[in-house]
Amino acid sequence: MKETRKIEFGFEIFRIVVALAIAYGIALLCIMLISEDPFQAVYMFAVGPFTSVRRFGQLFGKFIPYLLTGAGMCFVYASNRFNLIGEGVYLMSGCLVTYAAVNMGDMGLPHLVFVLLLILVGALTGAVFGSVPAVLREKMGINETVVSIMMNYALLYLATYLVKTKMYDNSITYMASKQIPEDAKLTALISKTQLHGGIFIGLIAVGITALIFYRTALGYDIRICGANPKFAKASGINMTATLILAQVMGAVLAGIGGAVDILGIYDRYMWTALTNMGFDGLIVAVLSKKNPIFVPLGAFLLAYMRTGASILNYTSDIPIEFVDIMQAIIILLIAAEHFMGRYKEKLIFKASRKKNEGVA
Amino acid sequence: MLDTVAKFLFAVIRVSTPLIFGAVAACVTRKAGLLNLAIESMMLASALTGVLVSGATQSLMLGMLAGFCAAIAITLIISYSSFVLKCDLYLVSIAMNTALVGGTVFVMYLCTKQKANTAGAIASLYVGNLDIPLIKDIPFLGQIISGHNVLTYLSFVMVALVWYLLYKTKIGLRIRSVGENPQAAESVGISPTKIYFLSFGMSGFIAALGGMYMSMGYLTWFARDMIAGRGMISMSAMNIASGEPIQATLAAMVFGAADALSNYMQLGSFPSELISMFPYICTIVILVLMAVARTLKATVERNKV
Amino acid sequence: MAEVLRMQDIVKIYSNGFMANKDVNLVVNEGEIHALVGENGAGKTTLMKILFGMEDFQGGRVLLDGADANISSPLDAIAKGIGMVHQHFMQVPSLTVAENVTLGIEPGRGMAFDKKEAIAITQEISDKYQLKVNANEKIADLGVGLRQKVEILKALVRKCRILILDEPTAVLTPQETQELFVQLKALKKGGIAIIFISHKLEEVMELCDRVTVLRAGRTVGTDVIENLNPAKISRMMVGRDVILEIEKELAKPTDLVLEIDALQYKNAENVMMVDGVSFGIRRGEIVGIAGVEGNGQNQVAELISGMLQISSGDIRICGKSVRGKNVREIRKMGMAYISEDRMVYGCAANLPIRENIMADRIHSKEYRKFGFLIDTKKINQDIDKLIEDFEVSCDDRTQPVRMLSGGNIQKVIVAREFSSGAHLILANQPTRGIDVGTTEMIRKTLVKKSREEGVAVLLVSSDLNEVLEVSDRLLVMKDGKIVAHFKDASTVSEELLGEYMLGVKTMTPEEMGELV
Repeated sequence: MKETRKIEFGFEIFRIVVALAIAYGIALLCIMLISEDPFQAVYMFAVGPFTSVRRFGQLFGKFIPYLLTGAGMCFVYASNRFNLIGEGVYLMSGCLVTYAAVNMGDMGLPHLVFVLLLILVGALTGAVFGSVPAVLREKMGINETVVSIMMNYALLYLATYLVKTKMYDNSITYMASKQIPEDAKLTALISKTQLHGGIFIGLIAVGITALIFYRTALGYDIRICGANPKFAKASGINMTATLILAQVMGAVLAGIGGAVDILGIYDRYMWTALTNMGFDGLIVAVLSKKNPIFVPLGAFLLAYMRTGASILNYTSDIPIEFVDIMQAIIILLIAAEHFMGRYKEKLIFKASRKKNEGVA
Repeated sequence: MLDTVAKFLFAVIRVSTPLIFGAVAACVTRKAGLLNLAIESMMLASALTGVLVSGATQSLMLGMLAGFCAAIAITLIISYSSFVLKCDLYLVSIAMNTALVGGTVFVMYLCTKQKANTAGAIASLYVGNLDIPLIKDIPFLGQIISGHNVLTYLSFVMVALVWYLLYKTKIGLRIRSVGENPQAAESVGISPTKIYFLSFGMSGFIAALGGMYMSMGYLTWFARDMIAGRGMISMSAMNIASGEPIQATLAAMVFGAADALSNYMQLGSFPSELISMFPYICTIVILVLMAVARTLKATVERNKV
Repeated sequence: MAEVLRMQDIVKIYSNGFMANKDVNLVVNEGEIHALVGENGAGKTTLMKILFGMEDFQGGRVLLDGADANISSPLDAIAKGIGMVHQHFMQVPSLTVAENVTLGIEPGRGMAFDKKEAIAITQEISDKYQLKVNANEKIADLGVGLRQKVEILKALVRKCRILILDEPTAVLTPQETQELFVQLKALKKGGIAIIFISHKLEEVMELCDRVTVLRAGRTVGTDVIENLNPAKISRMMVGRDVILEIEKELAKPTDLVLEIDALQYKNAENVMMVDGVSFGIRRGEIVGIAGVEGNGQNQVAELISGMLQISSGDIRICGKSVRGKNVREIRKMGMAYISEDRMVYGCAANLPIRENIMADRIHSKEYRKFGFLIDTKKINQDIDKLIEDFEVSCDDRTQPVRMLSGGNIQKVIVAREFSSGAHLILANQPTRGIDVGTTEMIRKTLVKKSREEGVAVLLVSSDLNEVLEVSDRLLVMKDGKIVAHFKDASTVSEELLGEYMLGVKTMTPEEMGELV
């Protein structure tokens, strides 16, 4: 018995490593193909994020929102719902937080209070917009994937509209909001880098998520609903409430993610296309196998890949976009239940035969 | 005034074309019981491939053939990973969409050293417009329905073809039976997995036409992220029509009208973003209304008994 | 009459080691209706699955027309002239009869589907055997009786010579049953061999030419109908194999815990599954419901637990009605439920033992800490104690349930349900497919619960040994109604019970007395 469990656990890790290795290998191959100086390019991609403090900070600039959206998607993914509202919420939260920051700038609030208030705005944005697909799904049975994707686009246009009509800065030539007051920004932990105070918020959020997952009744409920809804019903779990709550929590964390990101590394709100952050959160959740404890690991991996790619992008001419292909491969291979499944069965079979021989 | 109206209606048909292709493509998989969220990626793949290959070979035929192959290759990846490797279909589809947004830019750069579009770099071919004799001379009507791209006319033919395929052919019967009751189909020797592969493949073929219309008709070059949510709008047009190709086409044209309107509005002071939101909000509202109708019907039926 | 099918010394062992068929023999002749009868789990379904190519087998031979037939798949079986009408119809509701019938063998040139031809084919066969089906109608608009005929049509259009009907009358009204019999007799005249699986002995007597009885995976015998009567068949079918005696003191029932009053339940197809059931259970007693599966016992349990909604009538637990309440609220009223299908309703296979046991009580105040956290230490202690008490063999409490054996999974489930502090326990097929050791433990615990803690127990089981050994009082259900009530289950013989279950005998209300 114990043997099987060990094999399964080891195998899962092995599978993730293989998936990452395949994706990484393909990425390196792409770089080799395209670059005039392949060794320099590969070096930049693989080691680049660690070559200077600024670059390492850049990695954290991505790591922080991934922590939040990743933890958020854990809620959604663990309850077995495919709700992508995090994407739209992230963007909308960035927009509304900027709006609030610009308008409350001269109220003279203490720094900490101001920041926390703005993050609350982000969380509320998440709760309000996130509850729409969740409620429609659990109360009326409408496909949450379709609704959330539709809302993402609608929110993108709504945010653009708001920027144009309410927050537009006439003094600049491109489409962006007025400047976010210094007082509202999350302090950089190392100056002139993107490693900002939001990292504490991110880590606390991951901690709270893990706490909710494994140390509260709600977490038990969410995991049971996600694992077997019929059993959840038969054992008397309030499924509607649990699943709505799980999806709204996911959106709230995405909303905080948007707020932290905009207050951490931007001067103005200037997102004119979907940020893909919600989807990146899903990748983090897939990488961490729905377990919030592994979210920092997954977030770090993804941030590392993304940073390597963007360093490559500005040190050479290679477009950053090949990382998107890499991501897809990773998701595909990790989420595919049957990827290397036969190999696993063989291992377990072999182990049990060995054990039986031992008995005989 | 009449002239402006005619121009506007002409534009509606023009911008609706990719949506119509996408919507009927989504209908094929929907009738097999699957939601196709990856129309976007299929369109992107074919849009780029069509441009690249037609530019390289200077053969429209080969270009389009390559476009079809690219989209079908995407469907094969999706089908294999979700029906054989048992990956979540939605997850794969969404992953495909993001992969292709980046992937097409990457391949474009690989071939042209450009990151924004292929306009100057590749002399790609395109599908021409067609003036319909006689009709083009009818005032007003001729202005609206004549002079469109050949692919636009093909999109309407495609609607009829898909309808015929679904409702009048053996394979259509099998697709619908798998969509409704896979066990029943399996019990008479129809493999649902095969039907899933097939319906996704056909869906990819049709979506490819939509993609190639974008880069070889509507525009004559490939630009990064040029599908820009059209695949998703198509999918929702299909969704509110419950997979019926003709209704889905009508829905796609309504969404196309909103798109055309927002293009016109950009010229004026009215915020075009609010009109751009229309298809998305409209879809959600219709889905809610449909759900309400469903519940009401169920209640009525229960009370009858 | 020529022999068309011979299944000889069939042995089937499932991968978990369960032997479902032991040297089973079945011979069917051309143009006869051959009844295959036996209790649930006697091996009928397995035998038919082997014949229809859905299962392979370890020993014996299948001969068609005297020659070895290697039936590799259902498709192969169809090609060799075997048709099967499943209990659950394999149909596509939005399609027409003709489309359903010709699905997979569609007529027409090239790609096109020739609807007219399909209708013609369907109508021709329908008229030939007087099935009276309109080929142009949609399946969704048809009643159950007609839908069944469509299934028969499907087999006939594929030119079947052997037609298997798996409990065809279970879903039919008496009139529809009579109609079906007329048509089956017409098919028989046409030379088709029919294998008729049924529990309803009166129907077997009326319709069939010969009967083969299976019991516990073996053939008990085959005989022509003239030599048989219902009582005789019933005795052949019912018999005890493993005797597992449970010692128990005499029950001392006190207050009423469960009261069921004129309970009715109609399923989605509008079939009355539970039809006017009334009974009660008191503290400290075990009431068993015996019956052939599909006669409404399962629905009674699910109605009490809140998994199904009551159509009419009432259920009260400790005087309070459960109408309109959901499972959570009913569990709070003191109900615990061991569900029939343990992998679907009894556990979450991918979650640890701990989560599976905590599922129904995680919100309880005793596990609360600081208001919102749960007391992990107490949970772990309690889970470990339950694992020890119920002898669940596992690594530890964090092991996913799916890695346990069937018996151990059931132990996890009963550990949860028996420790929830309920005063009403519903045990629905609690020991089905489980090893003898666990079975004995579960039965003993049920008795202990009622005697020592005064719990009221409702035991629904198709295992006669179980209902007879464990129950104090015993009810028998047939066709959604209670047809017998024994005040002392220990005095009932299996033969007698079998006769009530199979409808050979029925008690009058006076004979049953008060059902509380």
